[in-house]
Amino acid sequence: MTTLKQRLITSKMVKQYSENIGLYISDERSEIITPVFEQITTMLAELDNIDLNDTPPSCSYRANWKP
Amino acid sequence: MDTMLKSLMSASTSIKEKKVSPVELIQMSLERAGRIQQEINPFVTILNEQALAAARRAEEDLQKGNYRGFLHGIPLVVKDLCDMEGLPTTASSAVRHDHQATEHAACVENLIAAGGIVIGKTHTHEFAYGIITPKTRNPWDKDRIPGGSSGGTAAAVSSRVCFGGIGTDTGGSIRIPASVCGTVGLKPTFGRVSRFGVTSLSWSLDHVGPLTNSVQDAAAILGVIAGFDSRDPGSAEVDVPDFQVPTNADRTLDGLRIGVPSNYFFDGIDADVEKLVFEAYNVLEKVGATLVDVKIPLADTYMAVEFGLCLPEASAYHQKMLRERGDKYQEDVRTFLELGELIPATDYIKSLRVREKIKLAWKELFGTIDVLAAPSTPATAAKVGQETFQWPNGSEESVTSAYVRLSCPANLTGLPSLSIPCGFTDDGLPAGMQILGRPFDEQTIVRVAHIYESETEWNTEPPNLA
Repeated sequence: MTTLKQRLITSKMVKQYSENIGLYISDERSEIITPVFEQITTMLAELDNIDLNDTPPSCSYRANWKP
Repeated sequence: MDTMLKSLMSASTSIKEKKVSPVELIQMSLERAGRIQQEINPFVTILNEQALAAARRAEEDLQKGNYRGFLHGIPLVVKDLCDMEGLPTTASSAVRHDHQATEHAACVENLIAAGGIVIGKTHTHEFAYGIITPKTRNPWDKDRIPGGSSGGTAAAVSSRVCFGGIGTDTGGSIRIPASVCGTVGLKPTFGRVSRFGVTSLSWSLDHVGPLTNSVQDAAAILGVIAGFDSRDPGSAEVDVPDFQVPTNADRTLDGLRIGVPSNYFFDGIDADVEKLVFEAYNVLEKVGATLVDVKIPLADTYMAVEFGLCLPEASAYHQKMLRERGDKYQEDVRTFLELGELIPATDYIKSLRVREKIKLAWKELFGTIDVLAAPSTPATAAKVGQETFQWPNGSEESVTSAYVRLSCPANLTGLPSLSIPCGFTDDGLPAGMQILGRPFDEQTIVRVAHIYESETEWNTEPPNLA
């Protein structure tokens, strides 16, 4: 199975993404973050190989009102 | 014998029988803490006056016949992520320089109610976001790390400054320091112990549990801190049994099936540690257990799911502080927090969905075994500044990845896992083995670990400190 996305990440993109969410980082910090972010996204992209079908997320939220 | 070298339960008996007073014991503990602090630096704060005042009250209570239980007058430590009323919870971070807790964390409240005396708050990797605990050193070798993030608690317990302490575990932060400092570390089932008042790293992965120098001591402390708490949304409404093994219980594991992983846990491991874990399997077999080879399911997803959950959750917790005090974070933590904000929500939810599959696969795995035994960490304590491990197969792995890789399955599944010392490598460093059990079946992993401990007694030798 091919992954859903092959993500190309540049430090410019990291800076832009960050600004979009109100996190203003310097060019220097963007350079530091980019390779680590790339590693993480590559790892996460591997999860695309798992056949999830209708598997729901594993949530810990419980709606009961009992104290 | 120096009382501080005894087990918690043994010191507790001494107090109950008035062979040692709470004031004497706390004085011994504080004196030792002061000395160890110079060499190892486990503490953010040593609570000299507060602990002595509590000891005097404990002594008065004892004289009046108000014995509060086995923790009465016992010196303990808590990781500085746990709130204590009137004190800062620094999380070992400059970001928290002006923090002050207004009430006790649930675990602290329970320890104190049971008579325990907190003598200090211990260092963590900043906000528990790492496995180094850079401010503290390993009592077995001061050029090495104590592991993390509960490195301060592990170092204090291992150094016999106290009889037990509280740690937290999001990707191994109780079991990693326990393993490399030669202590017992018990990460209970998710929901077993309230996280109320404990600074979060990742809500869906965080656990609170004890570190001690014996399995029975860990079981005893777990009994005090366990229980439903509506203030923690993850808290589970389940009965709290007596986790300790009865003294008259059989010392055999007849009929118990212990899973021995054929993949994942031994895929990158130091040869000495591997040898010690296999020797431990032989001990477990000798006392009656049946070893069952098992394949760990979906193993290549664990690290991705661990990071896919932890990174965004941690960044959500720190979102405001990162914008207001970003420059006060340590470099490694700041980087993780910044990049955690960039992970798409779909990747986070995908991680949660894969986690559900992992949970179901482990449920099936436990259809053929009663517990799983595996190395706690694939190597002993890394040297300060060391970045990678080289494995015998020629591969290289970062220290963080190596330590978290073996621990995170129990965080993802929420299953209880207890790390116990399983020997020393040729260079004199402790190694650990973890026993994982079914949900809320801490009693079985405690029983297995206790019998193993009784057969080996790796826990009896303290590190050689001044």
